[in-house]
Amino acid sequence: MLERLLAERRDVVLAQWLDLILGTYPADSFRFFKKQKDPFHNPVGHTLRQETAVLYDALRSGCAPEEVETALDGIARIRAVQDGSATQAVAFIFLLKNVVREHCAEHLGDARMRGELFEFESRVDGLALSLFDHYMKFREKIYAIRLRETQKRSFHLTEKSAEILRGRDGKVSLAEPPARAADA
Amino acid sequence: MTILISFVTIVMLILLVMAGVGVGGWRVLFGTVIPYAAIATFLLGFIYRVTLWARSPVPFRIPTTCGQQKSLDWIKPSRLDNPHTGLGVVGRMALEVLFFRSLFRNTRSEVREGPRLVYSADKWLWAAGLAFHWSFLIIFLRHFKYFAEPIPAWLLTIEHLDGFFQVGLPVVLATDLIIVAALTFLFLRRVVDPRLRYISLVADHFALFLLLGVALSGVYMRYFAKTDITRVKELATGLLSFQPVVPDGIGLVFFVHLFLVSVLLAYFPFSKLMHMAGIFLSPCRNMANNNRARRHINPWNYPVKVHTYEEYEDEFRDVMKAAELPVEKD
Amino acid sequence: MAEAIKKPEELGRVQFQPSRKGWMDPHVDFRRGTWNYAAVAETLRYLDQPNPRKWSPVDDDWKLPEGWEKIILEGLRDRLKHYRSLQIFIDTCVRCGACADKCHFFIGSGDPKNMPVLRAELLRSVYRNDFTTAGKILGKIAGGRKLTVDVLKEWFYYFYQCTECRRCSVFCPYGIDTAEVTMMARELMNLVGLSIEWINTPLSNCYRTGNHLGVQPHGFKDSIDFAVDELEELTGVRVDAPINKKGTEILFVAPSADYFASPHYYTLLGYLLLFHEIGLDYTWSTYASEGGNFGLFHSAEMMKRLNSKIYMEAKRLGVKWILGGECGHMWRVMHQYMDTMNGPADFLEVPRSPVTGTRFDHAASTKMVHITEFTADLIHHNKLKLDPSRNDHWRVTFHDSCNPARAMGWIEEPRHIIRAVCNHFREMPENTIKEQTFCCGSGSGIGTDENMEVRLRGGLPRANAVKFVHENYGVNLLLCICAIDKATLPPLLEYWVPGVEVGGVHEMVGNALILKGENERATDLRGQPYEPEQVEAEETEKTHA
Repeated sequence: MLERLLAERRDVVLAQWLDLILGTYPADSFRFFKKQKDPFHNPVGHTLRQETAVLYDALRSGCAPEEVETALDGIARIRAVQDGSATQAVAFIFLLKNVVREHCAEHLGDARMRGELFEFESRVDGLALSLFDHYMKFREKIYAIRLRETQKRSFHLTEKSAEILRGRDGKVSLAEPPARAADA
Repeated sequence: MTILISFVTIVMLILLVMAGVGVGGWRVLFGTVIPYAAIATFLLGFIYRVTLWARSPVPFRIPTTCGQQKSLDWIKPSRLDNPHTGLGVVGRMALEVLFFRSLFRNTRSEVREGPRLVYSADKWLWAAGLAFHWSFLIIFLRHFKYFAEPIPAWLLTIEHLDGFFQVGLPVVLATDLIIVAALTFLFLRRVVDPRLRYISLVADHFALFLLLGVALSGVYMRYFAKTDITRVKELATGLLSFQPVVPDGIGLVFFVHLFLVSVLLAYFPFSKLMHMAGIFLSPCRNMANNNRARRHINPWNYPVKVHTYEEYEDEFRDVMKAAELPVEKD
Repeated sequence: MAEAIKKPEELGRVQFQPSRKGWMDPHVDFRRGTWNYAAVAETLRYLDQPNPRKWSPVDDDWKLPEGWEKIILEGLRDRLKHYRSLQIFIDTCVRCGACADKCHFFIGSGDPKNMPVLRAELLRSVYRNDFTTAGKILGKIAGGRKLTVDVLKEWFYYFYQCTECRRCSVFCPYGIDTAEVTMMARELMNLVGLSIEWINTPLSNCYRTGNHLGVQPHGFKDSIDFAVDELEELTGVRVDAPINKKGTEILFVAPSADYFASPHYYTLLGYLLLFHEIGLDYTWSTYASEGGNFGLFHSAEMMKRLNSKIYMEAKRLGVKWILGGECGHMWRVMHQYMDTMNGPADFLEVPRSPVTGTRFDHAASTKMVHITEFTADLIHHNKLKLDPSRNDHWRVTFHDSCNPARAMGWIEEPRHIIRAVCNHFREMPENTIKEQTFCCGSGSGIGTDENMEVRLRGGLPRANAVKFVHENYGVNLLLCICAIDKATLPPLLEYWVPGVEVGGVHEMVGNALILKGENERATDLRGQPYEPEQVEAEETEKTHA
């Protein structure tokens, strides 16, 4: 029952969901993310539009886990570098519940519909947790990249140039780098 | 808020002239004194601003290049988007001033099935900007008929072309419609688009309202109030010949129109409207990209503290010798 | 209790700065990952810069000098008198919004103060408040803002979130260049000691040792010698790489990363092979061992102080002309500033290719030629024997670096070379290359680790276009002619498009170039075997033996 409803109203539900998601950005960015259709000039909006559709389809009828993973990756990758907390990065998944509930409101007297809705919402919860994993993966990735950059910096070079540095007298020939400011 | 402030200011200006002429009967003040003052402010202010700008030197040659440079003979240079000669710069500036070349660059792409890339134009701003500026210019030129007797042929041609559609009586001039539409679009853009709303200042809305006020009062006179043109012309030629007269029988709307034009003129030199002159002085557009071919002189180039080779060798001579690098002094 | 738990739509609201109150309210949240470390006091002292002290952007008290407002406003007045660009760019903007969505930082973050128009308004508002009559009387209504500590903090945050890439200038109807505004704002901040470490440390290194990394002369020689040894192993040919040699025809200057960082190093190998093969009479210099110039990101004066070494060294060594390596901002300095600042170079001759005889008249005054111009000319005249199939393991695309594209217009030269040395070349979408190219997001001295999140945001538009050619055409190598790109794009692509490497155009030349008397190449310049199976088999044999 629910599945059919969600299939019929797919475009409407998706549009409403996307509006809610973009509504979490400031008004000034909202329109840009929403209206600018050029995927190269608006990667954020484009990714959100594309990947939320995949997630929606997965939630309502189930699909290959790889597709869901890719979609979650796409969103988490962006959210992980934008301002905001982990909560803010993940919370948008739950906004789908509000939209779907509204669409089912009239059928909630039906026990079967209620059952299906509960199940659907559980899937949404699961998806949010999963998104959190992805988000953390990319946060860790950022720090891994940072760490490697710092290490590269300390030596100012790659493996190859490590040999050069040792030089003929075994002494490092870099000028003494000034102490770095503390990461306050 | 910014919109409200600008709107109220314009309304107050209109009320001021209506009260002044309608109630106070200060026809001479609004018909001759203020126009003269406005023109003087415009001319002096304009010259002052441009002189001020021109007085600041251009220390470095910094054109923004938007195409292939002139380098090897067999590589085709982009003569207009990356000019390397004075003539090329003239061409680039002409495209910029007459056709808003840079705004025209606003393309966007879409990925279609395939994957195939499709490019389309996102040119609303360009179109509206161009429509406004060209209409304004034509309307400005058309107004010479109020100053010239007999009306020169080129003016009649312009007016004839402008009224090409031959609708209504008096004939509806295309530019009148276009300028109002374009200004309305430019205003709505600032209201509807949150980004534009965010960056817009009072000055931005004020300029638009002022222009809109000028245009609408003009339109009203031509099509609805049917102002007595011979008398207006009498006033205009009087102003021009420094023998000002304010004939009777000129409607209130005309004074509103004239006053708003005066405000526009007086406001012009102190506002962003000076972009009209600024564009010609923009170093990113008006310079040729021949940097390496011809030396550009910086008038205030001053000597700076440098680290000479001698100082360098003094510090590193020992290690240089140990590494068998040639040195100046042993 | 229930009120303490927020609803999802409240939770999800991203707290971008600034608030909805409008941009005139200065407020910056120095969130970790977005800002740069402050310059270290001793580097400021070494360069005779004002207000050296220990401070951090997250401190409440930035330890500004007495009367700092006056210092900045006087500095602004002074610059308005010396730079028509600044005066025009401040006065003529009509806030049409054409630039608003052209900045990679805005596209990646959605932060409205990253719109170029607003970035400039941060400075413009102070100008209006103190330099225009309307601003003095009407204040905020005329768009004026008083210069306060909060405004200054906002400057620091956002002017170090501009990479001076000039993309907005391409789309501006008046050519207003935010790079120019940012340069001026940074100069003003320097006056009160607000500089960042990642710019000032390279500056003081470069001033002292001749290069940003602080490599001393013997270290420089070792690294070049090392490359020569490695090339002998790879090709069987021993190349000559003279250093500080007087009386050669050409002085070669490259960004220091080329001889000390990866993947720049492979580009260096490419240069060395090329120069050997055509028998170029040239020399490296330890004193002028840096083509790059972080002075461009600091102030015109600092740029001039560092740049002076190039001509001085050319004169001391008695060369005829100068050849420059692959670097973006270096070339903005060489092309648009060097001759004006430190010229005239009347002791040099108009550059002429010793191999083809081509006279580079477009460099007749500056007397410095870019290596892609030089090599494109060689290839055009068929002076090189090339085997592009030695790059067949790469499917390449070309990233136009900001400065070569928008300050000079080197569009075709690198492409001509790439087409000659690579069989698989694909362009990225048209509105992300050439003069519309997207910045790496880390230029102008902000390519360090502490602001990684901002860099990744800013790099998203570039990476996104790379992703397109990666997914659709299997592109696995992004070529560029910029040392900052080569340093900052690898982490960027690792994050956004894993599976795409970064390389230089002359690395590809080095791979494809057939040397006289060379051994058959078993690997490319990166040491990657051409036929992995075969090598594995050999290794297995060895183990068995």
